[in-house]
Amino acid sequence: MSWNRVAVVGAGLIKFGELFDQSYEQMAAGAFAAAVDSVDHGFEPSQVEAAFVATQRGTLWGQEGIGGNTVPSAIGLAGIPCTRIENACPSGSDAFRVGAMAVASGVHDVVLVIGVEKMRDKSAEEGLLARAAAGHPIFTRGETAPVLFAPFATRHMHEFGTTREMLASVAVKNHYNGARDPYAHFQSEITVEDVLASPSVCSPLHLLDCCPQTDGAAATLLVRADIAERFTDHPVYVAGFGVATDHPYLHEKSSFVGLKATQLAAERAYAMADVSPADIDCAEVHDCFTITEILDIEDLGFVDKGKGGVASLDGETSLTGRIPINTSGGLLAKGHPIGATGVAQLTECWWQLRGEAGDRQVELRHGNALQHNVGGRGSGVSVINILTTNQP
Amino acid sequence: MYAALGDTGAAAALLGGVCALDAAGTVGIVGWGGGRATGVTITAREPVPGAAAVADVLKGGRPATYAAVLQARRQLVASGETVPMGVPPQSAQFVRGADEMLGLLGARCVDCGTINTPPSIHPHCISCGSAKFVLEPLARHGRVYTFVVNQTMPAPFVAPLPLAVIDLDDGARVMLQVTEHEGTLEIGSEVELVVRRYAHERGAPVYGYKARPYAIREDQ
Repeated sequence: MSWNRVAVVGAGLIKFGELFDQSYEQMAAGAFAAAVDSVDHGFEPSQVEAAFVATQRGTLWGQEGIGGNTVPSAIGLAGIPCTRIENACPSGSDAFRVGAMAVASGVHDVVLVIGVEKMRDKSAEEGLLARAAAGHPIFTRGETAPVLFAPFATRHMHEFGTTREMLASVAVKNHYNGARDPYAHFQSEITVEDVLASPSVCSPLHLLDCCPQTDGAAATLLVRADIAERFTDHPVYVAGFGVATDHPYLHEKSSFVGLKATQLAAERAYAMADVSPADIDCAEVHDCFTITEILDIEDLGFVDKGKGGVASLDGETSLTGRIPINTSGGLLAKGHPIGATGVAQLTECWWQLRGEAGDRQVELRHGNALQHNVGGRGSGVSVINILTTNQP
Repeated sequence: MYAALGDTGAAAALLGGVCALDAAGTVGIVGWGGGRATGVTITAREPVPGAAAVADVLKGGRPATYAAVLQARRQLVASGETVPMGVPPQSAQFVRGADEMLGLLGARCVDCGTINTPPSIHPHCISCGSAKFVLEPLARHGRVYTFVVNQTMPAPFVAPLPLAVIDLDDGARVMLQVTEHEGTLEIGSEVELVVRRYAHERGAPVYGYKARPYAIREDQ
């Protein structure tokens, strides 16, 4: 594969949470400013040649009319090319991939990838819960977001003996990490007992098995690798990416113990980056629900199929474990402002690879970090990006 | 009128006119708003039957909360009450999908035998990509492959709502709501498909299949 190498020279986000005091545009401006400030040798905003913006829910208040032209104006760059990417929960990671391709193709030298999502202005009933009546009037009726993953938990428990305690250990670990991430929506540690005692949302998933709805924004600055030294002495490179789709309806799945889109995307990303799961130092994976992280770490090849629950309970995915997962707190604790989620995960990977993750810093052995999202109806799409400090 | 009823909007002029017609005489009624005005005069040679009664009824009006008024107008619907949402029953999708929703037809792939459900969303087979199908009725009996119990939904859904992925006897796989369920649902449970009313939306009932535990049938 012949492509110009791409470096990430800046990354940043705003504190995630219930940001009633900030508009969509103000959140975007905040994330962009954070990314600009992070560039070691300084960065003039006017250097941005094109922007790719991820916003997934165009139906939540305040972003009904969000398009490609909204963000440049909000960040003081009206006039630059800008395209909105919507690809379900991987919208942010797909915007990053598209931005990387814009640089890799030689069309642009400096590109902004920014994800922005305002989810709290609208009540839950009118927001994500309203999807219970969306889709097919009979065959998906009642299908809220947890319904897309809870049947996998039921089946994973049945086939592999995965327990609710194992699911809970994922939430406990991610909230522990979130308590060490100043950008996380939730900043408190929780216990297995807290998760087990929380109310049932969609059995077998309880409240603390589920990520919150969060406002947030994150941004990254991508440049051609051969000009990266103008911006930083510590560039992080795009090693590869993979995208895959799957059938969208749950009853079309042949397996309920793995997500095919993730498995296919992983094959492609590992091949493009020429690495294996054992070469990854840490990963930000899609933990919209605890069961999702268990499926992810199996589908990404970090643990054998069926062992995700045991590995989580045994601490293999903790900050000091064999393969640290979701050091930022993940979607469960940091939050899931959908369009911003992937870009924020990439920011965490960038910090980790540069040794800037503070109390959350993992041991770097290979210089590779992986970022993953999966989503859409029936987990029908997955996007994976792999970053590296190794010179291409 | 205003003292008794407050601002009744477009009805105010007509209500006032009616109340005034309980005696012989001429009444002028003028309505104005939105940049237009309309005026009529009505001459009554004798009291109009019923006008006095209307006037008495209006005088006897009672205060109602704003929420009660909105509920009476069906603009505000209490939680749990059926409200129009989702795909309206008079929409094209229900005409297009009648055979598969009420006839419970599946599309069997001619090349590999996989049954695709519902046919209208599967122009190509999920297993082999073929576009050659024969429509056939689905089996009405099967077993639960996996399931959830949804506890968190907006009205008109009523929790707890079990949803099951079901393998039918003919090999087709469907996902449906489970009804008449007594807390005994588990992987492998035997179920049968029955027609049930899903909702009552915009004046029309919505029917479709649901699954129910097979064992509860008394005639077996």
